[in-house]
Amino acid sequence: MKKMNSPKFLNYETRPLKFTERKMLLASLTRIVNYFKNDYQYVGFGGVAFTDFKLFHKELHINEMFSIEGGSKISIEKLNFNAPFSFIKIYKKLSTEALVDISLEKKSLIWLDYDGTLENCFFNDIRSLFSKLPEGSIYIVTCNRELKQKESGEEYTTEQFQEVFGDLVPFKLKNKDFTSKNNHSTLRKMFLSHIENVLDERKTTGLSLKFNQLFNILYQENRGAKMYTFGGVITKSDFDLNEIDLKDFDFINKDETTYNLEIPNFTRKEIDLVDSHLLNKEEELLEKKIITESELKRYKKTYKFLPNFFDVRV
Amino acid sequence: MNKNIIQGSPTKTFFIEMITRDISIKDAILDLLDNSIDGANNLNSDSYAGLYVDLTINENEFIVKDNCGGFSLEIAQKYAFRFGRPDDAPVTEGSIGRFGVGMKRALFKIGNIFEVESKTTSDHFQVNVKVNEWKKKKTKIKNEDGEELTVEDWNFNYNDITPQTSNLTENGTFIKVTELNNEVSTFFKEDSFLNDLKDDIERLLNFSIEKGLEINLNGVSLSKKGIVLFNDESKPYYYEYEFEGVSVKIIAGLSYVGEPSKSGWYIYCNDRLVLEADRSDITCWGTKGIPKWHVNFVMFRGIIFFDSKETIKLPLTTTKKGIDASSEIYLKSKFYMREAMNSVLTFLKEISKLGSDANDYRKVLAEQEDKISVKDLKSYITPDIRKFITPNLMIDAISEKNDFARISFNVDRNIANKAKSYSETRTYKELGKYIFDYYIKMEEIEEDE
Repeated sequence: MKKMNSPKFLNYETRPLKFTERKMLLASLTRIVNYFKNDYQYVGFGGVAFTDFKLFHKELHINEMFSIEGGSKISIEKLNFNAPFSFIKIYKKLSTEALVDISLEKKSLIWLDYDGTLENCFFNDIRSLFSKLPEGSIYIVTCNRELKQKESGEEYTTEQFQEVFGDLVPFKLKNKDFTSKNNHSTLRKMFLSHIENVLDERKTTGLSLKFNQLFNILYQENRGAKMYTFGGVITKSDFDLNEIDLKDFDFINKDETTYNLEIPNFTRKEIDLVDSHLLNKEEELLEKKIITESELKRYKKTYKFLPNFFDVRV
Repeated sequence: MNKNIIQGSPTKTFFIEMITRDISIKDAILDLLDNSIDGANNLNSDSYAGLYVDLTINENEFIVKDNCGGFSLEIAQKYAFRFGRPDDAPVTEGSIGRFGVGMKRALFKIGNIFEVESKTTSDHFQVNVKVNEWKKKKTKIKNEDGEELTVEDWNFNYNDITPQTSNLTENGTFIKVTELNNEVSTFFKEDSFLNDLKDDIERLLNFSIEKGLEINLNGVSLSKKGIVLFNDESKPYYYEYEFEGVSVKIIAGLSYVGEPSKSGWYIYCNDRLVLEADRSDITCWGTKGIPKWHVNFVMFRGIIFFDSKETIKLPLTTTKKGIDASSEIYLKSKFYMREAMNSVLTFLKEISKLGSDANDYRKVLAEQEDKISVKDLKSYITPDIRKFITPNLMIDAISEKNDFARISFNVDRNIANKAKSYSETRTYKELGKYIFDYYIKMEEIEEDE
C-alpha cells in the first residue's frame, strides 16, 4: 500500500544520494544474481520514472518486471505511457494485493521503496513475500526512518507505537528508540524479527530458509527526508554467505552496523585532482590543503558510484 | 497374605466424578449425538438421507433414539462400554469419538439409571445399569501370587432382547436415562436450556444436518446453521495438504457484515465443528504481526477442515470443544492461516478507509457476490492456491478520501451570522468553505500540482 505522490514532483534521477545508493546496490546485486544463476523477476515501485527498472533490465538482464503503484494521483494510462519497456506489467493497486497477483514462487529481486514512514502494510508485504519467495530471492526495503505518527507528525510514545504495531514492536521498547539516533535500529529489529518469524513458521511446511542481511544503509538527501534502506538475500538455512564474494564492498553490513551514505561536495576540478592522487599519492594530495582528510575519506567510500550530472540538449 | 499393601486402584466413585467434571450437560448430549452420526457415517458417508435421531428431554427422562445402524455386541463387549480405548481398537473411518469415554461419561453425567439398546443386522441386545448399584459392585480376583483379592467390579451385564422389551424396529440405538441428577433435571425443564441446546446442535452439527440427517428435539425438527463465504468476483484463500494421515483444508474470505458474532475462525474435525467464530490468539489473532480482532474485520471468516480416518490424529480435545493448540498438525496449519489473514485483513482495513461510505460498500458487496456454504466449501477446489482474490475495491474512492481533510472550529455565533450574510452564503458549511477559499486566494497558496 503505497501512496506514491513524490515522483510527480521530483525526479529520482537527480537525487544524488538516491542515485549513488542505487549504483551501490546494483554492484552487489550483480554478484548475487550471478551466483544464483540469474533468471530473476523484478518487483518494485516504478512510479513514472522507472529508473530502477531501466537500470536492472540493462545491467542485470531482468526481462520480467512488475511495477506497483498504489497512489491515486497518477492514471493507469499515464503509468503505462511512461513505462520504458512493454514487458513491465503495472499494477495500480495496493502492494499487498498486487503481491498476491505476482507469482512469488519465482526467484525475485524485490525493492519496495516506500516513500513514507513505517506502516503496518510493510509487515503485510513481508509476510506475503517471505511466505513464498524461493532461495536466491533478494528483498530490499527503503523508507523514511522517522518514527512519527501519520496524522500529527509527532514522534510516537511507546504506548502509541505498541497500539499501532501490536506484537511487532521490540520487547523493552523505550522512548529513545524513536529518536533519530536509534530509529533505524528499531526498524531493523522489527523487519528482521518479522522476517525470521515468517521463515520459522514456513519451516513447518518442510522448507528451511534463512534471511541474510546485507544492507543497513542510512542517508539524507540535501535538506530532504532521513531515509533507511534494509535488505538481504534468502538462502537455504545451511548456506554460507561467504560463498558469494562481496568482501570488497564496504557498504555491505551483516549486523546492526550501519553504513552512512554521504557524498563530498567537490568541484569538477577537485574531483580530477583527487582522482589523480587516489591510493598511491594521498599524502601528497593532503599536503596541498585543497581538500581535508575527512573529505577524502568520504569521497573514497562512494566515488565509484557517484553520478555525473550534465546539462545537455536532447 | 501380604500385609504390606497400599491400595492404588481407583474407586468407581472417584472415576465418575473425574470424567464428568469437565464436560457440560450440553456437550454430553452432543457426545451421544456424535455416536449416532458415527453410525450414520458408517452406513453411507456421502448422504444421511432417511436417517434420524430423536431426542426426548424433560425433567424425568432423557431419550435418544436413532436408526443409524447401531453397534454390534462385539463392539459393546470390547469397546463401547470399556473405559478408555484399548490399544488394539480398530480404526473407525471418519468418526469423532476417540478416547473411549464419550458415551459412558454422558450417561453418568445425566442420571442414575440408564438403558442402552442396540440393534444391528446380527445382534439385538440391551445393557441396563443402575449407577449407584454398579458403583458398589465388587469382585474377587487372584493375583500373580495366587492370593485372592477383592477389587472393584467394572463390568456391565447385557441382556438379549425380547419383543416386549424392544424399543427398536430398525437397526439403530435407543438410549434412555431416568432418575436424572438434580441439576440435570432442573436444566431439562427450562425452555432456555432447550433453546440453547437446539442452537448448539444446529451450529455444531450443521454438516450432518446438511448431509440429510434429521434431528428432532422434543418433536421439533432442527435445521442447519452454517456460515457462507462470498465467492464470485472475490475468491476465498484456499489451500489443502496431507500431513501424517490428516487431510487439512484451509479456506478464508469474506462474509456478511451484519453478523459480528459470526466473524472469526471455524475449525471442523471430521465434519464436527469444534471451534467456532474464534477471535483469540489460538487462531493467530494478535500474534506475529496479525492484528487483534477489531470491528473492521467483521466480514472475516476462516474455516479449517481436519479429516482423518484415525481420529486420534486430529487436534481434538476430549470435550470436543476447542482444539489441541499445541499439536504439530495444528501448529503447521497456522502458517497458512496467517498467510490467509494477512491478505484478507489488509483488504478489510482498506475498506474501513472509505470512512462513512465503508458500510455501504460492504453491503453492496454482500448483494453482488455469490455465496458458497460450508458444506460446498469442503469440496471447493481452485487452481489459484494460497491466494485471496479481492473484489474490485474502489481504490480511487479510497485514495480520494485520504486526500481530503476536514477542518472545523467554533466561533461566536453573532459574528458568524454577520460573516454569512456579508459573504452571501446560506449555511455555516458554505461559509467555512468560503473562508478557506478566500484565505488560499489572498495568500496566493497554490496546490502542489
